[in-house]
Amino acid sequence: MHTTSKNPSHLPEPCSEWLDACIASLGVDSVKEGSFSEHLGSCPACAAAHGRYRIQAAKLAGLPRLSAPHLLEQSLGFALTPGGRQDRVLAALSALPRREAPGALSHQLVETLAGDFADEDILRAPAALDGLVDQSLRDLAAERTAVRVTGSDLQSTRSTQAAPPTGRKLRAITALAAAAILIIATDQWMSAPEASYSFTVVRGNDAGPLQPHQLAMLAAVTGRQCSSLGEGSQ
Amino acid sequence: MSQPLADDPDLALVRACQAQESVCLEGAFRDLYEAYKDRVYNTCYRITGSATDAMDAAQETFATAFRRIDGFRFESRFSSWIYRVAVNASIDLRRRSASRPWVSLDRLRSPLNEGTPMDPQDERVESPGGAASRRELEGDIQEAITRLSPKMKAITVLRYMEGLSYEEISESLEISLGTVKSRLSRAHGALDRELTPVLDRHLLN
Repeated sequence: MHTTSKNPSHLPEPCSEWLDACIASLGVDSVKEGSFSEHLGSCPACAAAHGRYRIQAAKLAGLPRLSAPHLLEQSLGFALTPGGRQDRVLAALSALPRREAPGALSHQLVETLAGDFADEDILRAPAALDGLVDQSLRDLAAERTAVRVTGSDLQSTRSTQAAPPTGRKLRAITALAAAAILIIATDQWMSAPEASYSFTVVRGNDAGPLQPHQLAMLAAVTGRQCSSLGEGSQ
Repeated sequence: MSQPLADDPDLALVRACQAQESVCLEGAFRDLYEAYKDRVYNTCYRITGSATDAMDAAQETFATAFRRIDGFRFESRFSSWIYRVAVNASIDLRRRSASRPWVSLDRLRSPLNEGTPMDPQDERVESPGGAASRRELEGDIQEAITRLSPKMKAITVLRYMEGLSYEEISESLEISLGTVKSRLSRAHGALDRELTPVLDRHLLN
């Protein structure tokens, strides 16, 4: 009697009552059962299954025998030695090849130590720097003009402005000075033929050629102390 | 406690190991290792399908067997016992390896493709194309084995590759003879599904 095929490939399966005999006949302790041989002759399903199983068994048995690798003995030796696993790990780590530092590293280090900043660092200065410098120079010119008009030191003017109002006269002078500053600065601004100024690129702690008020302004803008790096004009 | 199996061919060697003071790869342990290293390694390789895993499983098999050999009472043959340890070590290791996300390079560089002693002989009798075809078939068969469930793999390897009898398989896997038979029949069903298409493809090619 044939078993119902549960094989997805729909290969014919042997009769269930002959299945054990069919499989037993494949192996090393196969028994030549006369009755099974007779059944094979009369049952195509069992004959087909027996043929397939025989090929499967032959292919499996025909796979090459492998020799245990020499490394197995070494690793087993480590495993059997107390602390051998740790020694094995340490040996593996210490056996890792040491690599030489690439030539580019020393070159890069020399460049870094020789100059604080390479050209590309300077080029990365914010674009707004030009505008800030320009504005500071215009403010400075206006401030100096105002000093001349009022005939007093700018510092004293600032002190006066900072001080609390002491009288009508003082308030009038202050208003006059402010108006004069505004008028003169506007006149200079409008009459300037073309914007022209010099600039200085600064960084670090070197004061360089900058004036204290320039340094103070840049410090306020950048939030750090500045020093001169280079100069130019535009 | 049952009597030692008098017909165990490893009886004297195991006794010598039990008498040895330290567990190391010398003396009787060395002899036992030499006697079983290829059988254990082959079993581990066929079950794991990976040379790397087979190395680890074989090492674990011998380390476990040698450390526990003092407690071995010959209730089964030593060979059955060490096969059992090897099967369990391989299945455990395979289970752990299954969670690895990478693909083993062993498929590309299996022991079959390394310079094994059989290669020169093969080259004498086979054309390069024939040798390549044979290796491809062997690799496909190994992959088909690897796709079987652990129980099917174990019984297939022990039966058809290691050539163990039903009784030896019963001892090794600690299952009854009836279970050996039923598991073998199910293994052939699985091989029909996994291996027959491979063989058909190679025959067609």
